[in-house]
Amino acid sequence: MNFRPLYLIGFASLAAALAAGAQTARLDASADVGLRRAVERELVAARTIGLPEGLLIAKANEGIAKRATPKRITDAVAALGKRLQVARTQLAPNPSEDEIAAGADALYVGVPAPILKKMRAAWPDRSLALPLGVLTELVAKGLPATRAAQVVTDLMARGASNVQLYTLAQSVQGDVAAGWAPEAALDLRARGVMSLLPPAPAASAFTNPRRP
Amino acid sequence: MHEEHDELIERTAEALRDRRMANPRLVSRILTAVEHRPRRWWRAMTWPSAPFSLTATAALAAAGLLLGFMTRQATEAPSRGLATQPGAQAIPLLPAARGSAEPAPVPVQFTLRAVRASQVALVGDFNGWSPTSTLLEPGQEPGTWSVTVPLSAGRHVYAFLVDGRTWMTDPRAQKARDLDFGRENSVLIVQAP
Repeated sequence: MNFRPLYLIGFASLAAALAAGAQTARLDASADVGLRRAVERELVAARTIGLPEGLLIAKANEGIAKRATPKRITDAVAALGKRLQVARTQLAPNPSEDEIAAGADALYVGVPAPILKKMRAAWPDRSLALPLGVLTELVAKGLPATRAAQVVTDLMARGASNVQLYTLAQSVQGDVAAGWAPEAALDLRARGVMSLLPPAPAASAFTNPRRP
Repeated sequence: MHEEHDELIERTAEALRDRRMANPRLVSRILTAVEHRPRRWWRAMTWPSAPFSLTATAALAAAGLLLGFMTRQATEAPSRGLATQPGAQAIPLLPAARGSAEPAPVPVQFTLRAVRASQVALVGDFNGWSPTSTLLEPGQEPGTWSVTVPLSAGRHVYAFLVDGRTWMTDPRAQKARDLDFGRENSVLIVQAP
């Protein structure tokens, strides 16, 4: 009895699934030729320096979905490429794609690049995707970037968990929505999280970063 | 104890000697077959044309199907979801696994109330802003839509695209300004413990 068809069906389904997956990282079919070429140029540039192309394609697709002009889309893709490059450098040595994307988002809302490096120093072995997301959201809610970064990085250095950082962001968001001044809300909520953590070392990672 | 073992070994050796002596042609045939056995590289080259055993073939096919299915799940959002109360919300449903540098994705449910819509898509940074890959399904109550999507820990921006043309932020989520294209998104932070 020949069982080769079973074998072929298995691999055909695998190929079909892989092809379906690859489609998610494609430029939207409605993009015109000019836009397609412009985005492809950015992708080639990203590819040569090893940046995640999918994030750039997603940015272009976001612009297409929002019916932005091709010029605006191309500019946004190019700007994201630069942010991704800075984020990857600052989050070295081995940032994940999620971390690079989160770092680029943080830069987008105005977080200074060196802060990313300090956050990496505080958590060299853990994913920074959530802390960076929390920082981005705090800054987006109107907090000064350096102050928000100091609080988040201090909490990370003191051993705060992802859950505690998440709770901090949610609480501050709620307080701001209720009419509190963002800085007052952050100080109060950060004190609450700090009270749950072990005593501070002599100096925090943010105020006294490690030197190479 | 030792005597018992010695006796057993003796008997086994005798039996083997008898068997070898009893059928020298069989031994010769086996040795010939071993000498003419194809080399490893040749077996690898001819493997696809060799007859397959049922077990190996079924296992291979099942592995291919399973891997294909898992790949599809990882790259596409699931199309099923649970209808919930009217309104829109994004709820992390399960905590992520502990102990890895990159926490496991967390299933998050997105819901929207859009009474006149005939199609609602979820677009966001997690699906490449694709207007076709993550469609919400209608709930039991007319006008309710829902989908559950696995999201990685961190901050995500998203929106709903109603009937392929109307951009809608999530009424129950925080808003995120978009300086690139000028249309607001909704924002969600997914936590992984």
